[in-house]
Amino acid sequence: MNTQTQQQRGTASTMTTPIVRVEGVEQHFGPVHALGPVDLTIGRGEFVSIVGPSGCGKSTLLEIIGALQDPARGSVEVDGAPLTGPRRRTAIVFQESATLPWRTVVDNVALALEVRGVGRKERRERARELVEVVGLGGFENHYPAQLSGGMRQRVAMARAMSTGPDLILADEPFGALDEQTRMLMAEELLRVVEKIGCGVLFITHSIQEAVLLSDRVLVMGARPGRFIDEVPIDLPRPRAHAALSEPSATAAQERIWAQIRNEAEVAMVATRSAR
Amino acid sequence: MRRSSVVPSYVRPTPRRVAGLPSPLWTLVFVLVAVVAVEVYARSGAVSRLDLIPVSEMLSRAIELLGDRKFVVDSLLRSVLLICASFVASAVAGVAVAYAMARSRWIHRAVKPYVNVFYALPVFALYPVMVVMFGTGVVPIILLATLFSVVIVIANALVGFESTPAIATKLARSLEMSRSQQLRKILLPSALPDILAGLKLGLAYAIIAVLATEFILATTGLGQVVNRAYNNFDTIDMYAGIVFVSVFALLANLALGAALNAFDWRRR
Repeated sequence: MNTQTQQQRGTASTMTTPIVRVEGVEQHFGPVHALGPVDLTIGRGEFVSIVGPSGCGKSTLLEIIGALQDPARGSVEVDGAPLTGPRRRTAIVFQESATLPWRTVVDNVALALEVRGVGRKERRERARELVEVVGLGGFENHYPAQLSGGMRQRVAMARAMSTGPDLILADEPFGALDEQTRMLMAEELLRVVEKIGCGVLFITHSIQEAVLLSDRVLVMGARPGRFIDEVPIDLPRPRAHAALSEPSATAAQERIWAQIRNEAEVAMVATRSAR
Repeated sequence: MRRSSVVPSYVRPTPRRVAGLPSPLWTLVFVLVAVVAVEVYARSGAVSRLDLIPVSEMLSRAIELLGDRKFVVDSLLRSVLLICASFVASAVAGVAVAYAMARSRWIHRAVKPYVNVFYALPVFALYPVMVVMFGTGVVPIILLATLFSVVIVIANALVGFESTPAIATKLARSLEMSRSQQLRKILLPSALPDILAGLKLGLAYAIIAVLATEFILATTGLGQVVNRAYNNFDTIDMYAGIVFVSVFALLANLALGAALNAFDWRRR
């Protein structure tokens, strides 16, 4: 049954146009060649993670797909159309929880709908539902300063979901959280994403997290960032933390770690000699 | 006594009660003690009535003046209105200029030197120019008071706009906010605590400027009442005028302070 769902996912993404198609994208910051060229395809409803050493250009790629920066070269297509600017159905979750401290939880979640001109009553109603979905029921009228880091990140997740996205770009969303909260949040994210069935590009430092969440893990090499390996994760869904101890999961983790270790060493030596 | 507390004094919460009284009440006690001291000193005969009169007489003269239609309309209301007009003008202009500076590096570069110069410039030195250009009516008073108070409003609002967290700006872009949405939903609320702090100072500056300008420039107004009484050795009217100035400044400051607390999300 599990292989069946996997196959269904596979066929779904090959039959229709992929949600993201990146071809030959490169980025330069002044003299620094930061990224690429990279190619990347994300199917509809597919969960793809990118892991790689610090400063390899992961976030740059994510911001390019989110239209927060323009690539120096290459083309980006989202939902079959060339990317021209920020897109309504792309939701971005940032590493720092992007909550506005002067708004309550509900009003933070409702912000995206508010910007799109949804009426006050309707957007608050939908925001309240989403607050329940991410497990913050009872905290609707709290301010971000009264919440923990994990709770604030849930607020950001709820806001990302509020507009019914078909693509979520998550830039190390749990990077600032402690290990336990991180794992809980990861399971939470899986649950939510499976519910709305959107494509996800997930950037992380944590190999465990990547393996637990993804259909596919891409390993990015040291700057200028390029993909050096692609690891499919064949684990049954729905997944929980226990899945990480299965043989195929440990094998995937070993394989990814071996690649990253190499790259991280190269990156360290490079920065040392640059000094 | 809890002298042995291991918590350093600077992180301990302010005690609610000091020596058995709520701490705000102590403020009142100190004011009353000062008032009584002045009253006793003035009544003791150790000081000439030309220099100091008892507080009770200042107050009764002030209340008497409130019944004087001419004083209320020509002096009190006029000065209050001038203060309000200058304050509103400097608030609107100050926030607008700061916003333009935060948005455009060129405007920032162009305006910054003037802001720096105006910090150090005794604006009242401009008053002969004002008289030559605008006469002695209300225009030069409002202009001088606005010029005097707008600088501090700009400086504070600019700090507020520029300390908007980068992540909030990123969020605004990813949500495709328009410029006016960014202003209303991100920049203004984010800068509001700093803007309000600037407005509080701006109000004080507007009060100072209006009264001081009336002192040297005008033929009516509260400042002029005090000045004329002072020149005529009319000590009682002079102090009555000062009472009005103090009471107005106190009330305006309390009102703005309350607004500051209500809108300042940093204090929640």
